[in-house]
Amino acid sequence: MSVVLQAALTAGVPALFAGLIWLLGGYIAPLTRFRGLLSPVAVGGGYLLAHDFVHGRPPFPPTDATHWLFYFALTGIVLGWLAELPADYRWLWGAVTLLVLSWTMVLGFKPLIQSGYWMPVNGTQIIVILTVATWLLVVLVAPNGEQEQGAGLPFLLAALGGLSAGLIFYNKSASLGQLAGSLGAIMGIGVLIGWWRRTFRLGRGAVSLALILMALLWAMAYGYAELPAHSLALLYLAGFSLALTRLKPFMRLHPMARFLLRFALLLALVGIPLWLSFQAYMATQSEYPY
Amino acid sequence: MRQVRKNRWLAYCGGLALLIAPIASANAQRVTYRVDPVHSFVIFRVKHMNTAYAYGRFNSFSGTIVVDEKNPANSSVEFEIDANSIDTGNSQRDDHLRSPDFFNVRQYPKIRFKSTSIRRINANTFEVRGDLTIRGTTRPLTVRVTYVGKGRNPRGQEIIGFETTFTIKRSQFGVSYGLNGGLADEVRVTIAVEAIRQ
Repeated sequence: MSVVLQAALTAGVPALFAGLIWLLGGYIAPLTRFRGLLSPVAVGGGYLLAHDFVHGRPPFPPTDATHWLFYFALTGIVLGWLAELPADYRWLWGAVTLLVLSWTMVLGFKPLIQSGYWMPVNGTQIIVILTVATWLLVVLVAPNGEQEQGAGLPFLLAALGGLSAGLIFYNKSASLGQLAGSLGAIMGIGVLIGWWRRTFRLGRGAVSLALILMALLWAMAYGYAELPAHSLALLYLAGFSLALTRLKPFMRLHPMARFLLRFALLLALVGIPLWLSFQAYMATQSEYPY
Repeated sequence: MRQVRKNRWLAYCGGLALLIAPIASANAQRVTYRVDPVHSFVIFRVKHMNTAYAYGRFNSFSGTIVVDEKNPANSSVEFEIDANSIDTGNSQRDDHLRSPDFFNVRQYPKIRFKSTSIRRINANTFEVRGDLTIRGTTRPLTVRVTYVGKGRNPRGQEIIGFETTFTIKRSQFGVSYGLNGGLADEVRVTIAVEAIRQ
């Protein structure tokens, strides 16, 4: 199988899977709660397919810490369903997400302390910071999935996935970059559906799951590949910028202005480190194309 | 009475000496050598795009070889490679090989081999069975090792040389990235060691 065909399959098949699930949800639109339950399956199932294409099915427990993401995607679908709970019970989603996220971060990064790459105190601090930052990102941005309709939010998430894929790729992990790119492609199919059906909503569950998976990929690229801390921080900031529209001053803006503002922020926050990484890669005058 | 006790004590000591003698003699036959990283090499090759072989090496490793010339079954080998020291002559590729796509050196900084049995095949060839651990996955490995020679280095230390070449499938150790992208599964490894008697 050629490299190009493999890359196309890695991004294309998960995106097609997600698209089919979303379309299925569209046809049973009156049952909005059921549609909300299908949406995290689209993201989580798509990610599982992508992971299978890139790494194969990992053993349980995985020998490689980065493969915990595969098992998180499975549990993440359930977390996505919890995100769709009525407002009165939504605290349960927040609490369970924090618990599962903490455990995933510990499983994912404990090996770096065990191997001596991180000192125990520093490592623990990093794990706590990453857990809190990811949880805040998810809790703050997930409501956008419920409030925003059309192609805008899927486009911004697709851009975040695509840009972070490039950033991770140029920081020495093609596989983690491919997985981030696949998440971008899954959201990309959401753009097409949102364009076609202006009432299309990703839903809280799908947005929260996509963001957790992206943030875990960023964190893994920081821990296990060469993604610098400042690039990681900018990726988180770019994620947080999606929630800006829920602040009062931004709510008064025209929807197109809100979209363009967030897209410009995203380009600045992730595009600049991506450009710098690309320049650094080119500066080595290496002929190594992965 | 005192003379009887003295004789009995001497008899005990004599018996003990008879018991210890073969053990001490066995230890005397087992000689420990430490791998000299300056005069040893770990080289590998893997087929790229089903077209040509790409070569690389590991620059940092250590090991201990215990040799029992009279009874090779009593010999043993332990070898440890610093996965971070991979060197293919291209820093971008080396960084990629260190990443989770391949060796994941931050989680698994060492590649290890520990022998479980050794037998002589002919005068200069030995079959070494052992466990090879790469990226947290341990699998049995059997290799043919050639005894190259013995001598003294400029410092007057006794040195011994061995070489082995074997092929592993990287996918069996979880190093599966790029299998579909044109980097072969089979990796041929050559280890040539010069070890100094301790």
